[in-house]
Amino acid sequence: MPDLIELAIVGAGPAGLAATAEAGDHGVPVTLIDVFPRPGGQYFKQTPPELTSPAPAKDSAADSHARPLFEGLSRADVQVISDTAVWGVFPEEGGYLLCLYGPGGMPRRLLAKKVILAPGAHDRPVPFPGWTLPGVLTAGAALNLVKHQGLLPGRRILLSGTGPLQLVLARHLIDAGAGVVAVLDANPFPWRAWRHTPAAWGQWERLGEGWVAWRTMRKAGTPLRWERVVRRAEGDGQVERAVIGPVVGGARETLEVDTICLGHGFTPSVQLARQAGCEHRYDPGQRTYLPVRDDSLQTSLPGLFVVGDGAGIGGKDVAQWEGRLAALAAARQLGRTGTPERLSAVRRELDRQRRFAAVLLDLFPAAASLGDLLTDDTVLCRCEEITVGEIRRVIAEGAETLNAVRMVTRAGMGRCQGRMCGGPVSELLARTLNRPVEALGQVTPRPPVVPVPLEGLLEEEA
Amino acid sequence: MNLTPPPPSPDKGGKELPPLSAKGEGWGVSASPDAIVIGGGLIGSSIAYHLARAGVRALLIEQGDLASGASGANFGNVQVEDAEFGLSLELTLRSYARFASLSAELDYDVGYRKTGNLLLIENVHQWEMMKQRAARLQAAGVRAALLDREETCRLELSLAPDSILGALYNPNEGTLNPFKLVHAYALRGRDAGLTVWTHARVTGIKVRGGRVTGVATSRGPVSAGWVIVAAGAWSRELGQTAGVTLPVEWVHGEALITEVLPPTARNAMTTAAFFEATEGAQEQSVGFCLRQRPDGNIMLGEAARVTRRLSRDSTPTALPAVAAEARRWLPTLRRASVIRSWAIPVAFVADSRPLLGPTGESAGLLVATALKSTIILTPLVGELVAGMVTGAVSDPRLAEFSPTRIV
Repeated sequence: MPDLIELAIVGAGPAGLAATAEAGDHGVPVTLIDVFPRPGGQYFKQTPPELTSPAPAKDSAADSHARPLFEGLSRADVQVISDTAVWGVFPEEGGYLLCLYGPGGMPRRLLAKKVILAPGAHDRPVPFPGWTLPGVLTAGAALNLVKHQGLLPGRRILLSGTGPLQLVLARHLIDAGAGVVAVLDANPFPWRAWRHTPAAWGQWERLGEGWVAWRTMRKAGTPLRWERVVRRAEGDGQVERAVIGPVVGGARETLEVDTICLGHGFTPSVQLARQAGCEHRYDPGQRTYLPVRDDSLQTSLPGLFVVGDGAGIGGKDVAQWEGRLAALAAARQLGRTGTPERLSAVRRELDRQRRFAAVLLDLFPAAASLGDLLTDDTVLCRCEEITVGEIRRVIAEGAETLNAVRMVTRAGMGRCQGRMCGGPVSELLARTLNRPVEALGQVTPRPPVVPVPLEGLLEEEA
Repeated sequence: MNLTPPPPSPDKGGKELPPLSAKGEGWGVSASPDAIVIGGGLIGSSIAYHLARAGVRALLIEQGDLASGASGANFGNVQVEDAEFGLSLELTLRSYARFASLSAELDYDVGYRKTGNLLLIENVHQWEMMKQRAARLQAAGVRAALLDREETCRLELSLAPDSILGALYNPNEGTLNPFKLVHAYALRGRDAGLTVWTHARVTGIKVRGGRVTGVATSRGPVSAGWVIVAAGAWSRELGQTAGVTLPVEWVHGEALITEVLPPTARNAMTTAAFFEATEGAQEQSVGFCLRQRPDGNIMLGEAARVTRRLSRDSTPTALPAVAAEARRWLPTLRRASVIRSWAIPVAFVADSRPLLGPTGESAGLLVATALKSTIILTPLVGELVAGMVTGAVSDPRLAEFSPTRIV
């Protein structure tokens, strides 16, 4: 068994960085493990020095926010293990065993008294006919390309999805010289937004970001079209056309495009918390299973916390304050009690940020009815290339749960282990059987929760 | 047909009505099946299918999804070479003969194909054991052959030759998709009138006056004159509810699977060390076995630990042990991505023979479990047990598999 450490934090995005800073402020030594080569996560991603793109877009507001978080990493009692995946968390006597895989010289096992998981989220996959054609990518991937690598995913780009991130992406693409044909939002124009004025009050920076993006789009002549989605992508080995229209009924039009970016929001990366054995419950609003947490963000497993988008989408500010709250609770469990003033200040700020996050979820919910677009030949499981038709057939033959479908068709048994297709398959089952998703069972992720080379499972390097 | 008439219902309470499933498949006390099969794995689904085909009104009850126990956690091997000699081997060969036409019989592609099988030999003791085994298999008509090191490594180029003396080889062994086989049995069983309950738990087997009368389930009581236990490791606690001690033990077996890889191994492979294994070891034992699926994923096993816990948890000690052993045998797999692991209780009996037949103490209570190499026996055992219910099968030699032979 490895030595027992005090606190392990998994994930160095906004939530993990803030948790590290807060724990450090209370004298708790932290081991921060992150899968990326440099800390920052997706939001505070640092462009790697070897990528000397001509002019990667600068995001000065984000930089100034991130600086104090990054400074926390240089403390003597903070150990950062980068470029390293955590592929399993196992309850052990006195704490949790973390199984790691990273470059040479890094530990393969850690035994921690307390664990804060801050795994973040991934783009919500929304299948439709043609979505596997080259040229269709997620908004998150496109943003990464243009912001951090100075690359354009295409020349004539169509954005389809919902929410303000699409506008941010459009702005970056336009600034970088791409043609953005249109931005489609599956939801209706947010007339109700005025009702949320109190919650939005004070969120000037983010409102400002939206304003800049909207102005950039206007100047470039990029239309923002409400209640429209890509219904089908077409082309010969590559996206050439997009058939767009309302999700249900209505007129169709065809746009000549070479790239489609899908921005249907995010879905929490709950794999590690579920593998560890934390209880999860289905959340119909976010249309996914979320860890059950107490008011200090502790899961059903004592001493194990989940914070940030990995526990439910709330954005980078909710994530940071959740990270701080969990760090305070972990510090308390480790015998380092902070001041009550600090605790109530953190709770207050978290509540404020949560109110604004709730506004966005209310105005831009994940579109529920895109399942109407699926045709029998639409691929649902990309890893195993399983189509909607194959899944419908085994449902007709008696399969009634996600696991039953998975076992007979192998949907969700490939490289991604259902991270991509788990949600869409559940929703297809729910629609076909006319039952709620939560009645269809879950598939518990098995270790390794990310692909690890055979040798990487060993406790010591070969 | 020779069905025991269902006895009068012993359930007086009857307060909780069984919740009917969406399809209205509401067997209960008033509308009873003739036979209840407990366990929706390979054996249970085959028995249920064969019962339905014989005209028996049958209900199959599975606590989770079909094939979600050991039946869905195996490598899909249709194997002959490791059978116990005597009646086990005789049944194995009779059952094997049905595989060529199994997909046609079920009108469902269960993925059966011949691949060959290698029992890998690493020391002189194993060599002598496999030599004897080869001779006895050949005498029974099996195309088994003892290969030397060079022949073995020519057959499977990825094997690390240093550790290998040779192998016991049978080109006629094969593979199928166990999930699809169970699914097909349930599907064709339903076509013939079978009722399948999944996510329903049997909480007790009811016995009255030396005769089985039905079961209590999470959906309420169901009466039946025949109850068949085919629940693997879970059979032990089910037997206890009927006052029968079944000598079922189990290991907590763990294995893992890689991403899709180019063709790497045609044969299923298992180390002959499994035949040397000392019984009842509490420590984790790790042996090597491998099967590349037709799609290209490679399954690697296995770590086993004798236990009395019924758990499905993969452990942080077993996974590296399996990985290390796999790397020793096929170093080319070093960098192959592992995408999943699994763990399941796998039933066995101390004398390595199955539990198959009536319990003797309670009329109408049959057991069919712990078959060691389950897939190959699945078609035949389903037919045999269905025959025990209808009266078509009464072979006195089967007494050697009596579920109560060991107390």
